[in-house]
Amino acid sequence: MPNTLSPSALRTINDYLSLPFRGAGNVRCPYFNNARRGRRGQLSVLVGKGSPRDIAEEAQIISLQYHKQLFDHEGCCLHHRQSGAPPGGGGEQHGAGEEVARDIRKFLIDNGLGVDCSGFVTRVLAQHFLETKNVNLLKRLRVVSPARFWRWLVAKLRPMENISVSTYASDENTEKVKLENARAGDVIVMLRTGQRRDRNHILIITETDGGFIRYGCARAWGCEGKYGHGVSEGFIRLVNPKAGLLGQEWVELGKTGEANETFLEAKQAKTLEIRRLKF
Amino acid sequence: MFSPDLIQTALLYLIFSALGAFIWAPLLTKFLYKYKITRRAEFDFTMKGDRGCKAGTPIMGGLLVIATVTIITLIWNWNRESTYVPIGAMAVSALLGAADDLLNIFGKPRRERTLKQTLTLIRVHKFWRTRVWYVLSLPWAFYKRAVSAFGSHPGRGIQVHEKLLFQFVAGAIPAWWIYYKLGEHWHSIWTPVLGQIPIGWWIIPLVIFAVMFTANAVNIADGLDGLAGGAMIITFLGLMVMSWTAGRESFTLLNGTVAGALIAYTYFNVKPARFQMGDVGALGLGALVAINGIAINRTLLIPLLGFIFYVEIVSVILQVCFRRLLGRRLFKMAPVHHHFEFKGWSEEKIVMRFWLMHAFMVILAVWISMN
Repeated sequence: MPNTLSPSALRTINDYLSLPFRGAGNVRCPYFNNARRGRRGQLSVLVGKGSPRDIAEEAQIISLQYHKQLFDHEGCCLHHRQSGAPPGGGGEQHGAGEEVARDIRKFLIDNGLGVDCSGFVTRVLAQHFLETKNVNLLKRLRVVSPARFWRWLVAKLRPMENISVSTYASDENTEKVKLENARAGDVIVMLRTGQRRDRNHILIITETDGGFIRYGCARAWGCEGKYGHGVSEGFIRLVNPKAGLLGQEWVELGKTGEANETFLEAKQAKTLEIRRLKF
Repeated sequence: MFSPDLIQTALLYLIFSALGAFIWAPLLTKFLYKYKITRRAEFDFTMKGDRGCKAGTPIMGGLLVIATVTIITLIWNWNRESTYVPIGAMAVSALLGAADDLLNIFGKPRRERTLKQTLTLIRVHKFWRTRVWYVLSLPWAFYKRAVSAFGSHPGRGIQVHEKLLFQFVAGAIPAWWIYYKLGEHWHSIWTPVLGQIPIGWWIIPLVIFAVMFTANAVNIADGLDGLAGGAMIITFLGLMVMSWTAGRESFTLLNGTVAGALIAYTYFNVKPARFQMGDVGALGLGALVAINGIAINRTLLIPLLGFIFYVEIVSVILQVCFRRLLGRRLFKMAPVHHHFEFKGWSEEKIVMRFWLMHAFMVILAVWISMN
């Protein structure tokens, strides 16, 4: 019997994989990390922490504000009318529909709209815990110690923007879980990864089914270039459960081994753990 | 009880002012075009798409009202006890607005040094005297940073922190006048139910705040063709009636004069606008609304008299608070008239509805003041 996330959490992931734009489907949410831009005190959607709906609305606002002619006042995509693609999107549309999705994704990336890994995981987990345990994740996660009053106050006001991978790696919020005990709703935390060991990354386990662990994440692979990155799904085939996470086969976008950059990141990470929220 | 002669005279001032403004409006338009005091698309990202037609429209059209009112008042309604200070404060605010308008067009782009840069310079500057200067001026740098977090960054013209200081002066003049020159009975404010409540020297910050807030509110509301002008006509007509019922002769005439000039201005300002008010008109007339409200001792009714202006400025304050504190938007865009534009309302629909709401609130204010 597969163990999966709650329906609303799965719906959130689907919304990230196909952002809720009216008249345009299959617009995968891009990856955005605020580290380089360093926007402070900004809208959560502009620092990589927005929900799919926030991102779609902000795209509409920016399009109208700067007269990009991408969406109308109702939030409906204007390109599908011009290109003749059917409204509503869906997997069946090709050609013009894909072109529209590509245009919108380019627009999102050029305007710094997207989600980072911890933002994505938090949005999904928040839905999961709300539905399964009636717990408000944003209120329960301990982000900053009250001893650092100012930071603590800011984190209370804007928890979403202050939750990072470190929050999930903290023993105050989560506990380590063995590979064989992993289940949907757990997270895979990678600390100090990348070539320079200066980044953290997080994946959320969406389904476990005996020999598989399926996960979702927001990431930017180098091989995907400027406009190819975004929210993605992959799975870990448990070929040798006793060998730890790195001993398994990681598959994402049909790539395995070090060609799968998520696996490469896991391999480079100083700390690689599966963790489960304590509440 | 109310002098019919006074209101008759006020209406005459109104008619005369409107006619005078109508006569010289073409000259003003020609002047503004000649010296290219117009909205430039290259400085304004909003001048694209359906708003592209606004590019090239003269600004500083508010001069029509400011100059007409000042001249008529100087010639026929000059009174050191009443009109002296309102006109003075209006002129100071209008001068500030005019400087901002002109610098926005002809000024060089301005780049403000950030607080972080100042702190770095304190550590690394090679001259110790300059380092000391930066340390001494640190409070000013803090003030600039704090204000800029809540204001817009036009890149040209007068910056928010400078504007606030000038407006403070424009508010301090009537505050000084009311507290020191108008006598003891002005040290209290009128309330609808409780009557007069003594507040002593608190009248000074109250006046300064009212002037600064209202001037900025009108400035913010001046974003759609005809909106600020039409709403101002209603406000000054309300003020005219209120000063008439209060028996304040000079103010009745002054408010009538302003309403008349505004009729001419709005005639040319409705969509598609022949000219726009600019900061010169918005700041000047905004200050005048507050001062005239205070001068007839109806300070608490100013939010109703300037209802739509207050709605606009409060929408901006709320939007900034939501954005900075909670990280989300309250409106799609602020001020609130842009929110409705984003919802797909036409400019005319927004303006008409805002006028009607404003008119209702001004009538309510007049009714309350008569009770």
